[in-house]
Amino acid sequence: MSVAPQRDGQPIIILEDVHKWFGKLHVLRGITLKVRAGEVVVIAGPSGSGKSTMIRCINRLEAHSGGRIAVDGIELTDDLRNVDAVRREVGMVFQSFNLFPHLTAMQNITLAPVQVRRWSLPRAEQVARELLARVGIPEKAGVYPAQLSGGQQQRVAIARALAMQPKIMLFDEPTSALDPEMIQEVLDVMKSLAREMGMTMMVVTHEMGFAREVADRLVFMDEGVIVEEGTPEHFFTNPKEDRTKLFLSKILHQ
Amino acid sequence: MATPAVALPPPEERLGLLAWAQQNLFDGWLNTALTIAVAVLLGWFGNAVVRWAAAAHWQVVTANLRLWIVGLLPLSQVWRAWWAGGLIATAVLLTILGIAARVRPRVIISLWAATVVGVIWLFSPVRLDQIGGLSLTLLLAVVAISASFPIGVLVGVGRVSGLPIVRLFCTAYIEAIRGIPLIAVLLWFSIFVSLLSGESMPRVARAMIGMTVFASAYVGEIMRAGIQSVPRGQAEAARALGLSGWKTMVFVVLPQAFKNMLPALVGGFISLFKDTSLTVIIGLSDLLGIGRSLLALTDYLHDVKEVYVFALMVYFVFSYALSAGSRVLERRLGLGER
Repeated sequence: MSVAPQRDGQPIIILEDVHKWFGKLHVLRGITLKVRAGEVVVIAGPSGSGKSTMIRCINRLEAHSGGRIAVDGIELTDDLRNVDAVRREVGMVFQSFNLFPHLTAMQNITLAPVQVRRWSLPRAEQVARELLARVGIPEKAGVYPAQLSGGQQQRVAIARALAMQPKIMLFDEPTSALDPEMIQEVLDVMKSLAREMGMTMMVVTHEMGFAREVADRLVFMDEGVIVEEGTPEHFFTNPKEDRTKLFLSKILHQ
Repeated sequence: MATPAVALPPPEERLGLLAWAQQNLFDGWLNTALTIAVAVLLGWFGNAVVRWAAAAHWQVVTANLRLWIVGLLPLSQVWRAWWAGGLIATAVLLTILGIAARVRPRVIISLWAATVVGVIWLFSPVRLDQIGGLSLTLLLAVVAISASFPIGVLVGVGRVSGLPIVRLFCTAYIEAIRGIPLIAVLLWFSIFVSLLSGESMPRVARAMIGMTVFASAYVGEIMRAGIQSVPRGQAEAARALGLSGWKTMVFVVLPQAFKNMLPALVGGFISLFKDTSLTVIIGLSDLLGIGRSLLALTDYLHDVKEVYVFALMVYFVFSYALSAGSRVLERRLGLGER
């Protein structure tokens, strides 16, 4: 089932002059960014640059302190109904997987569809089996997270987020906690998401190979601002800013 | 090509009895001396205990078993206690068999629900104040434990609530109760409640309320620690999937918190079981109360040791059973651990 990516130019995520403070620490210092439906945006930058905080603001795991965020036409405000509506449309994958250890892979995936979308359990399990097959581990349905490798856990976590049929997927350093030999299996799943499903994706990662291959746009952040953005070709051939050049030289020659 | 590595069996580590004794008990002159000294002490103490037990006046126990078990329950009603006891013993037996056969938890829970309903039905014509002895001790403990658990969970959740008023209220409750000894709570309730309701509420019910109010605060504090022991990422993942705050608590945080807190919780419940003996202060005749009443009779004036040793053994048997049961539960719950 190969759906052609429909990059129709309508922005589905809008950030305008977004600020965020943790106490006195000014983490996001005026972020403006638009992501179109079907677009894959990779966010890179040194640690502490605000990448994670920015994508955590998009499903309001963090509340932004200033500016405006709208997702799929819904304004993110203190109105909890809007927050819940946005969370139903936005899936998230975490650096540390955050699978629920007391539930099997299958139960991890079916929990939210049954409790939030009010699906029947058989329907949710049917979808869960399809998703486990899509991420390449159909045989692990009845297994607890502790019995899975890191790469398998992260693939279950991706399936868990997809089960809610989100329009947007956020990835917060999805491969940073993985052993090197498991990184590729997770990246492959993410690639197929982008190519076959045309999923709108924001990915915080240092995997520049992935960025070069899949990303429509690369955003480089440092000290709470977007320093430079453009196509991967632009970044890898002639980056403009000195900070971008310095960062790229560090992570490409390690 | 390198030869493939071969898996070897671990080296033999078992020691013979003699070798073990030499290595652990008689290793050098100091250890040898200590071993002998301890053996002599243990022998002397054991000998004294056995000789006392053989000569003791156990009639105070054997001749008054009915009093020890049901207290001053009217003779016409005693059959109810035997049936209830039989029902509970059957349920315990079936539970042990069921755990060994790994039946579903749901089956065991419904078995106990049915048992509870049966026992309540059996005792329905009996006034609360007529129950005494071990039955009263168990009744107080079961009611206090099963009522304080749900209340304690609510208090614990309230303690970490995002709403400042709820958090303040729960914190104040926990801190207030933790600053007061149980005896004071029991005395206060037995007086305060009688001021409100006259003498209409049985003393046993007042004790139940007092113990529940007391225990809920401790369960609440244990639950708070349990909730906070669950990594933040768990709640974040649940919220990111669109689960509400309550559903996140019920389906993701509490099951993990409960598993982490089981040892502390059982510890709390064991001390609650033993604390039922404090109800003697407000004039209830629980297991210990019956013992004290027996000591007041001329026949048993000098059987102080027998009475207290027997009471101690009964408390120990039940506390140990609770503790052993929780260990089985912990092993079972360890199934899906990280």
